[in-house]
Amino acid sequence: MEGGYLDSVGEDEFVRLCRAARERGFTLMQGDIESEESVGRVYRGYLAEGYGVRFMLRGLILPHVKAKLAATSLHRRALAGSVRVVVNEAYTTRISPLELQVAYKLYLATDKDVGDAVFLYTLFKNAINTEELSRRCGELGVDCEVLEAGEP
Amino acid sequence: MKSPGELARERARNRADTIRHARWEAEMVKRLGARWFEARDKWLAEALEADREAWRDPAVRKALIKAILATDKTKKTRRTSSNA
Repeated sequence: MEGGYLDSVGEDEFVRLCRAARERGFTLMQGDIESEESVGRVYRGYLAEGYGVRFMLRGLILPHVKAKLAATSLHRRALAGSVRVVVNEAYTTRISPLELQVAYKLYLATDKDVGDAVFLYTLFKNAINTEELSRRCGELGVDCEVLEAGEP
Repeated sequence: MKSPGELARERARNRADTIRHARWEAEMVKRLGARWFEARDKWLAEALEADREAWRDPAVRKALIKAILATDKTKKTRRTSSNA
């Protein structure tokens, strides 16, 4: 499952987004993407209430794309500082800054999240700004020592 | 029943295994690049095909979607109560 945040999207804009998604073969897990009334209900019942909405491509349950409205300063910072990524020299997408991703995974703190943080850190060590990472870890009150430690 | 000490040791061991695996996987990606993803995608595709077979059953499909959406509610409730 891949997730993302939407910045200040109102109901009408969400309806338009769903129309574009539908044309590309996506369906909604929580409603009928063919019906604008249903899409509106999904917006009011999920997005506006702080839940994520889930889009499936060609009916595939997993993996799918989850989107939520940006609700905290951290979400907005992730959007504002997002980095453009080119996939297979054909598609572009945006991801949140690596330093924020690593710190946030440590903050979530399940075994899987800590594993994800270590994976990202090990893979992108040369591209990560360590000062920025320390700052983000400090803001979230997490210890980033695990990233560099030898055998845990 | 395991003692609290045993449970703590088991959790620490699980976390250590997860971290070791994450480091190993990142090193594999660095070493093999696209070839790593091709190999991994091959394994995933086989597993996915079996899952897709199961999802053709509307009852399984409905139950899986219900479970995914229930997780969202639980996570949100947990976050809301921990922020209170």
